[in-house]
Amino acid sequence: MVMEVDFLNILDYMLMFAFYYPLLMAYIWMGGATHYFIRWESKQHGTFMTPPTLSSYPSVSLMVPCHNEGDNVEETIQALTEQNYPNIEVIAINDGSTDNTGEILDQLATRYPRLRVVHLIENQGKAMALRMGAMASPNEYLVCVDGDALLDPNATTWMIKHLLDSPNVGAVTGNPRIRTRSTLLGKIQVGEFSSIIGLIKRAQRVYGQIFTISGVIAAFRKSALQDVGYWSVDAITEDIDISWKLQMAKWEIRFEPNALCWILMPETLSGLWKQRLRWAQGGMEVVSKYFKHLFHWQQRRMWILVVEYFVSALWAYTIIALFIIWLVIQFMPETANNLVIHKIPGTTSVALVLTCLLQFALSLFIDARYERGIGKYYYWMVWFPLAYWLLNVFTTIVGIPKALFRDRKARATWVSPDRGIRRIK
Amino acid sequence: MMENNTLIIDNSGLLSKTTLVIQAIVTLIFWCSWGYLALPLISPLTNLLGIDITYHNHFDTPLFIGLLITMILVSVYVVGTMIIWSLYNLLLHRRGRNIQKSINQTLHCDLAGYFGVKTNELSTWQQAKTLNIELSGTGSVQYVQASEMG
Repeated sequence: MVMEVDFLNILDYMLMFAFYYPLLMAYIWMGGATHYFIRWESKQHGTFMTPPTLSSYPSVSLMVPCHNEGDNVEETIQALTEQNYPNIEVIAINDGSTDNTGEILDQLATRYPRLRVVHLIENQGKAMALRMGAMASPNEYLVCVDGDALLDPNATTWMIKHLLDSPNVGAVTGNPRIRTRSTLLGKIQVGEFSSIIGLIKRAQRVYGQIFTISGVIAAFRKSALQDVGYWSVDAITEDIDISWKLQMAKWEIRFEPNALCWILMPETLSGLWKQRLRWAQGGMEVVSKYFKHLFHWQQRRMWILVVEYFVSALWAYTIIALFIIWLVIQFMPETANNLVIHKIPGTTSVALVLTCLLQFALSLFIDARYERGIGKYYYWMVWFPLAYWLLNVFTTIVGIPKALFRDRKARATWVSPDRGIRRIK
Repeated sequence: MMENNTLIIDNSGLLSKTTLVIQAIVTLIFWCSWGYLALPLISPLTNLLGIDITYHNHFDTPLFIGLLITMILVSVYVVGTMIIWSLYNLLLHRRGRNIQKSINQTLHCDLAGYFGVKTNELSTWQQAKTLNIELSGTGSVQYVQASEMG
């Protein structure tokens, strides 16, 4: 009897944690993002289309690592050559592509005088491609863009401003915007990028450290990269890894919402699953890689990220545990009868609905500065809490063991992702 | 200027009408389920309009107010802690403002040293229009062919 009461108490705590943790995080993200918006974004004159005037315009290398990007790389390079920044060179790194990427790049190099091409004979992975790009660049400032992304013409200026103004800034991450919106999954991701990724980046910027830059669009100071040993070739998510390396070496990372970059995202469940599993695996890999160094007092600013990461992982496992317990007690009627089931509609369901609606509204209100008409995605965002949190649970459950038992010495190479339903040319 | 609307790829037209209708209806059903979850809030409003929604009410007003106060207190506490944390970070940032100033430009020889290549060769490569690079199994530069100076 005592054991059963204890079990019910534990179950009650687990249920409370499962329910209240996402709610609490929602308020933390909303609080941080609101502060960021009021403190920085709302005070800006003009929009992302009117870039700031810089004290100087040092040469910048725009680096594009490509692997089998034959369908996309031309428009990516074209967008880069149209940057409203006077001193740029574009370095495209063809990382052992097996399609026609190499030939396309060579042709483009004859058309665009500011384009240089680096061919790696064999596929070496994105991190190595970026390292070779950094080596080939004579410039101190590097902007890295994925081979299927379109950079807004003013993005370079917005990001370089941070690197020029603050010598402690080692990297600046931009604002990825989703292009592929044909399917339900595409539309849900628009909501996700607003109400989770956008809010988290702003909130983490306010609270001190950023979990990760967006690998698809980021600017770097080369001396900071040199200081930390550039991108790790064994990291499955080189963007999370470099973010932690820079911040642990006391370099600051900024988020610049005006630096827009239009990206292709998966629009199938299997494509989305693979991408998110890689993110989950990469997160755990980085945390475990640097774990022993994080106990040093000098790394105390990173502790908040570590705590958040582990509590989120614990939450994912709690959800699975609760599901298993629920299944088991279906065969134990006596115990099932003793359980206090939260009846719906009720107090907690109202709290859940109100919080989600508030989070959607706030995120779309903030994002309306960067994309007119984004409000129409409010209709599809109703899916997002279920889709996001469930996906998060399963990718965490699968990704963590994969990260812990992966061969760390193996080079992380490219896998061509699902890029949504493309335009018919 | 890049027009954002032209960058968005909405090829919903490529999906079958059945798929589109199912997506819209299922989303609508989902909204209705949300409405159901929020009935304790919605029903007083519909009552004002003369529509009486009958349901088994599990809504406990004192509990909700208690929950709301608890959530607000916890949020204030957490956000307050975060603000103190942010201010602490800001203080550290200001105190350490000059720490990295000494490292403000990557020296050519340092870059060459890091990648294990010769400085004069690196200078040539950095001016080349096209580079073909072969790496060893350990990732070190094994062979570089530079062509057409930029």
